[in-house]
Amino acid sequence: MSDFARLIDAWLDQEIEPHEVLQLQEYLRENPNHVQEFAEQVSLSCLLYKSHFVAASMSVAAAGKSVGDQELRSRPTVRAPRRGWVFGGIAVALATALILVIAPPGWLSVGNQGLTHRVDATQNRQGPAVDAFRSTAHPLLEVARIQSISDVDEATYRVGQRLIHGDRLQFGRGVMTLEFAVGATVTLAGPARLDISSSSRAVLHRGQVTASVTKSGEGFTIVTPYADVIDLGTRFGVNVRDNGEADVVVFEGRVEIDYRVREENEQSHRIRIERLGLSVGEAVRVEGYGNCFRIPVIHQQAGSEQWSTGITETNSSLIASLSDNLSKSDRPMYYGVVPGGFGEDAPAYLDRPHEWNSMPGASFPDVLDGRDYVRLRNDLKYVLGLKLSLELRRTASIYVLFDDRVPPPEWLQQGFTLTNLRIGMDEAPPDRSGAGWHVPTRDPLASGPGRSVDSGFAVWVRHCAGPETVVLGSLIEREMTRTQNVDESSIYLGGLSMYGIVVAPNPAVANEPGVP
Amino acid sequence: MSASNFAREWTRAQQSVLAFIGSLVVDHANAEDLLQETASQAFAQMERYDATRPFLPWVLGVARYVVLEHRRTSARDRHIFDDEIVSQLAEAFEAISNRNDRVYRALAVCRERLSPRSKFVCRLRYEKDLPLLEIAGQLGESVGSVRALLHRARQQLRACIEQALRAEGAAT
Repeated sequence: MSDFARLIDAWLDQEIEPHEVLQLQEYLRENPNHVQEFAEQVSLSCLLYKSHFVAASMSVAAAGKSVGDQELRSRPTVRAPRRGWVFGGIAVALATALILVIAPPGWLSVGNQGLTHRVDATQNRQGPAVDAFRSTAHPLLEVARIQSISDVDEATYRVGQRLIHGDRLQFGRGVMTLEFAVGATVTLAGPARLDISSSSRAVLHRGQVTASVTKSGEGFTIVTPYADVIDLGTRFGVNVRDNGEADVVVFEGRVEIDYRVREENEQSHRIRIERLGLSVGEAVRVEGYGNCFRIPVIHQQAGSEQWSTGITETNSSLIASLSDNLSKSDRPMYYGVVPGGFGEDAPAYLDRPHEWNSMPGASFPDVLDGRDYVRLRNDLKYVLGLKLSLELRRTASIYVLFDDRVPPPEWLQQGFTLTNLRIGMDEAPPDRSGAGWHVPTRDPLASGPGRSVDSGFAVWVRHCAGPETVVLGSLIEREMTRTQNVDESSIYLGGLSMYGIVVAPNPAVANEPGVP
Repeated sequence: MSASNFAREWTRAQQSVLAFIGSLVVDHANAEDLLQETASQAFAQMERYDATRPFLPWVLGVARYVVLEHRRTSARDRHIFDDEIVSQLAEAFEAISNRNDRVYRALAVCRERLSPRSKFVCRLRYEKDLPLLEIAGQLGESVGSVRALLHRARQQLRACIEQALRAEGAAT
């Protein structure tokens, strides 16, 4: 096989490296026959995609499938068959044109990007002809649930509504759940404006998206004014404000952020792309071109997809703020504050699926039940010298839940009092993401009091008389490693757990008039 | 140009437009997304199209713009040739555009003549869009072996298609 043929194969098989593209370009430049050969091969490859898609569609539509079909479909596949909609997508592209033919005036509007048309999904039902046509187009996504949306006509959106390329979703308050065919579930919270670009790409102009993406939907992308957020098989959130700033939070797995950096000189400017990887328990704000900042606290609503980076009417808690002494070069970790969320089976950490539970045979401590708590990253247990500053909004008690297997550090013994309360933890086995933490094999998580508890935690308390700031330290004290002559870098904390934090009204003043 | 004329012209041109985009963007799924974007943008600019001139070169120009925009805003797909090569490719796709339908018909027949193993690999590659590494994993073979198998399958298909087109030409 010639080198030219090898490079064409690499292109067609999507394996080509950047330096090979340059080599291929040289071959194309040196001989017009090479251009013709390359064009014919690419053309054949596109027709192969089309013919396989059509054949697969027909075989699915047919009552009986061949043995070959069943064999192919029974195998686990990692990537989504995007052509499931893509050649449908060609139909959709054509559909766009055809809809234009039959749509009444005003059905289309020119988007704010000038050239791009936008079909407002609010106009989806502009007549039986359009309805009939849309019902034949391959939908990219479907509206799965609508909760109390406002600022739109009541009939604008409906559950089961199918959307195609170019559609726009826009509403005031409320929440809409969208099921993308590629394998992504997106919760869109208003005020929101979202344009559908493809089965795996949407442009978020305003509002909050929380996306759960299956393996087949990997690569699902939310485009914002200053950055693209690309899923790598995960659950993540993006919130875009009116000024284009975007908050990006990773709840599971990992995303990549392609953020735009503006380079200017006297004559001109250009935009280049920088990439930032973001893992579970990390959050950043992209402010304008090239400015990414860590978001230290994410407020989460217990048992809900709702989250925010600031205090709202519904997430106010006794915790006014949390900050730490991690340097700017550290990963952009956040702390999850869950108002009123502590209780049986409450998620313990951001980076592990472990849950808090009552100890076997004991009831859940009343004083902790339904209180505000903080979800830390369990990996913080490795950060020696950690200083975690917790600022209270008002008089309150801080409870620290501390792993029985770890000697209580000095900051805990001096600043807190050991209670006779105890709490348990249901530790999960390593998850499918292969995060690779080293715990012994555990039973799967279980629900309910005292079930599947793998380790016990002592409860320490500090009653604070006012809105003070309390500094908590690291799980293991650096001094301890020194006295025991252990190298910090070799310290092994596998199987041990980071402490937990619960904040409750101070019982000494909780019953006083005027104290909520 | 009326919308109905646009729809008709687009129907004829879209396979060539997709192939042209596929020669500028490695990822086929991306190429398909960009095809949709090209359709949208071409429609939005329809009034600028001079209906006395051929539609395909004009819409390939729109596609070229769409691909360049994609390249500017995406760090993922930086594979693209210089302007001279892109122009030559556009001309090459124009030149072969009139035979797409015949090639497609012949392809349906020729696919059936592949060996069962080649057929299966082609289906994993073109129906499931699996990368070679995953195809190799499913078959329990090396990536090199899958690569060679796909290369041979495409060569066989091209030879078969050329033969079919020659026979069709002789018959007419």
